[in-house]
Amino acid sequence: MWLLALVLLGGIELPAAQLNLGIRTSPALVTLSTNLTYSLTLTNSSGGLLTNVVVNSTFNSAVELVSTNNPSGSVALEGSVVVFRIPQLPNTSNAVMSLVIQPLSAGLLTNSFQLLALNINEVTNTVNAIFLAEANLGVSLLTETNTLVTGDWTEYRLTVANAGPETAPQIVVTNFLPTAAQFLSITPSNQPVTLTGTQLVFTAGSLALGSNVTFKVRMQANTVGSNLVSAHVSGPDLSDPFPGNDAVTNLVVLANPQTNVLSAAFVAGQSFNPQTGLMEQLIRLTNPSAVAVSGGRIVFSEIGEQLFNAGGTNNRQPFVALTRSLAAGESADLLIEYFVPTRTAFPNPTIEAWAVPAFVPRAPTGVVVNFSQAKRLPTGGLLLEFPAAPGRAYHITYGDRVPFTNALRALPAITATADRVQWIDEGPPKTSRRPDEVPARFYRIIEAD
Amino acid sequence: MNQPRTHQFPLRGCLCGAAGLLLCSTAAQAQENPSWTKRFRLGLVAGINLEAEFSLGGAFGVSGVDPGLPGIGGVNHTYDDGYVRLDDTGNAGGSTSNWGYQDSSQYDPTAESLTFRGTTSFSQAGSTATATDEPYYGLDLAYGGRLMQAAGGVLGWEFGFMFLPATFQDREPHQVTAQRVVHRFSTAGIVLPQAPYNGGTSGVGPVIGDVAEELSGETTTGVLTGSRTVEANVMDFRLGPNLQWHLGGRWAASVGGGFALGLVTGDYSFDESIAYESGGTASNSGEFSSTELVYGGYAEALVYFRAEENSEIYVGARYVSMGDVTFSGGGREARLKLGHGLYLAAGIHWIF
Repeated sequence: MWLLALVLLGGIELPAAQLNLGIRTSPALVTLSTNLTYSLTLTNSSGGLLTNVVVNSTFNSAVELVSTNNPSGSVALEGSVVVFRIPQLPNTSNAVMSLVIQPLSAGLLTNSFQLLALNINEVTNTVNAIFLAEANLGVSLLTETNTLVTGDWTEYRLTVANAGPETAPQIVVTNFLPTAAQFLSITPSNQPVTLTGTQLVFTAGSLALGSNVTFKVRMQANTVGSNLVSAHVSGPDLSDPFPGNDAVTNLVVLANPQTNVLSAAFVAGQSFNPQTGLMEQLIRLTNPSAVAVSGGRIVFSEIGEQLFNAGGTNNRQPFVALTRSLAAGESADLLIEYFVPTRTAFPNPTIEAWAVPAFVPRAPTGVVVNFSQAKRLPTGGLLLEFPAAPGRAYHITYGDRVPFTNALRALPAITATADRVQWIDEGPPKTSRRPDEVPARFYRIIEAD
Repeated sequence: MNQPRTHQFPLRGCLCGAAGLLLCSTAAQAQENPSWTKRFRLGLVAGINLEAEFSLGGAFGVSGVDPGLPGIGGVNHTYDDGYVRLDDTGNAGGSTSNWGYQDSSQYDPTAESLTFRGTTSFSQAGSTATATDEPYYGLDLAYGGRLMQAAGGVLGWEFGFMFLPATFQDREPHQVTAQRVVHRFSTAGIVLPQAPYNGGTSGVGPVIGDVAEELSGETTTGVLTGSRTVEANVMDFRLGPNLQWHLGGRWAASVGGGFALGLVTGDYSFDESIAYESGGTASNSGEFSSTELVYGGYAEALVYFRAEENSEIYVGARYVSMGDVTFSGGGREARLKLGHGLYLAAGIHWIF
């Protein structure tokens, strides 16, 4: 609102309130892809005719002029100034004008309106915040399992999504690893990553409306107890209409392994299995204590060859897991697979038995693959065969009922090396028990996403 | 109205096109200025009466099949219906993950073995097929000059060049007799993946023995299908006299003839498959190239329409007779017959 004192041609001084310039901007939220409209209303309540009234509009940064309108006079672009001229403004009448621009840069945009009428020269500034874009960003975090052992390497998935309404550029993800955790890797690895302590910052690039991108972060968790993994997404000069989903926190519980409860022993020597191309060896995990344990592991150290069916890694040492409880005095035989290029036995590795909390990896999601052959083997195991794309990874889930409501994930995932994959369920460590030890077992093959 | 002009840029008006020439000249006449002594023409040509005769006879090798030696391990074997090759372990322990087969009939569950067949050669009694895809389109150029007045017209000379790409394809099926080696590999101890299966080099997955046991070879009949193709570029160079007459108004005509030299270069390629009556297929592909010089003679007749003062539109026909060009190799032959080529030409003729 302008309150001006005017001097009429006759030299009469008027009260300031008798010439008003109303300025209204729309929309309320302006981004680089939207137009900003200035609606101007100049009101003469001086009691006489005003002539040669001028309104100048000057911006503090470059804008693109979209349109202008001045039915009461003319509009011209003079240099970088938009000039509205009203030759005559009768008493009690309004001059309605408009100016539409598109901002070219984010930040605060100031439009300085200068009103010139006779000896009047008054300036007022209208400031609008300009955003790069308006986008409802969201982030979700999915850990592999909620219960880990100190030193475990674990991978969690950070998914950043944009629900619009506009493309979100320059998205930044800030990820806080648990205290004392060690960052190992991120996939995809082609974006710059900044690691400060346990704070990981990386860019998610530009996300179009309705799209998402997933990052897999691998870390080594080291602190016993409840560990928080959190992440939030943001963007410079980004307006998010629903900021509530910009951050996520997940809880990971870590326990120390009990290394003096279980025992592990080699049941037999290594033998070559032509069905898999791998060397195999049976290791018995025994619970000699008087109390049951929730789960067990055999951790390998000083292993000269690749532990092919490792279910995970703890502090650089691969392990296989028994994903069920072991009662007092109970034993479980775990069939270990090694990839040995010579296809001959090598010196037995050093093994250690750990009692650990139940290790229940989350069931995967993805495209279900039909299997083409299922055959019971003389060993009691079950061979599943399915068509595959070489190089792609596949998960096997299994359960005791068809709806798969309580399905578990077999460990580890399989990477196809041929156009058909044969996977054999011989019980632990791939599955909780041998298939011939359970009343029923159903399988589902899922192509990893 | 005829305004004599001594010199013109020879390609003047070439961007106008034939229609443009017709529109922009109203005063041109067919009778040319006696001081103009050179002529040049540029046009398109369509060739007919060109064909290739494909001959196939004798014994032929088969590409892509290398059965390898039986009785020893650590070598690659490639068959019509699969492969047994080295894997990343170098076939450690005498077995490999790098194998594949195509059909369940190759598997003998009793003997726990897979049988592979590889075509080493095939023979064909001899056949001939003619192929053409005319008309073939190309480019025609000629440059000439005036020698003297003769026979009521102008006697001149002409040097011409033609470039004509031409493709000939024979898709005739043939009955063939093939020699196949038969090898057998042990699959003991594994549940065979269903066919077709293509294993990889990683060393992981079901492995089979890598030593081929040689069984009695087979002589079997089949049908050879697919194609044999010659892609040739025919270039001819012509030199000879011609005689041109003014027919009245804007019209003129010429006849000429002389010596023709042909340069033919091209590729013979084959992409074939043998479907055996006993089942199974073998693939065979390859190519070879040839370049050959031939010679002969030509005769031509052209009609001209004066569109502009020194530019004409021409149409005509040329008969060129040259020797045959032969593409041959490994018992295959394609004879490109250029003895009765007829070429219809049209374009623009400049006199300067």
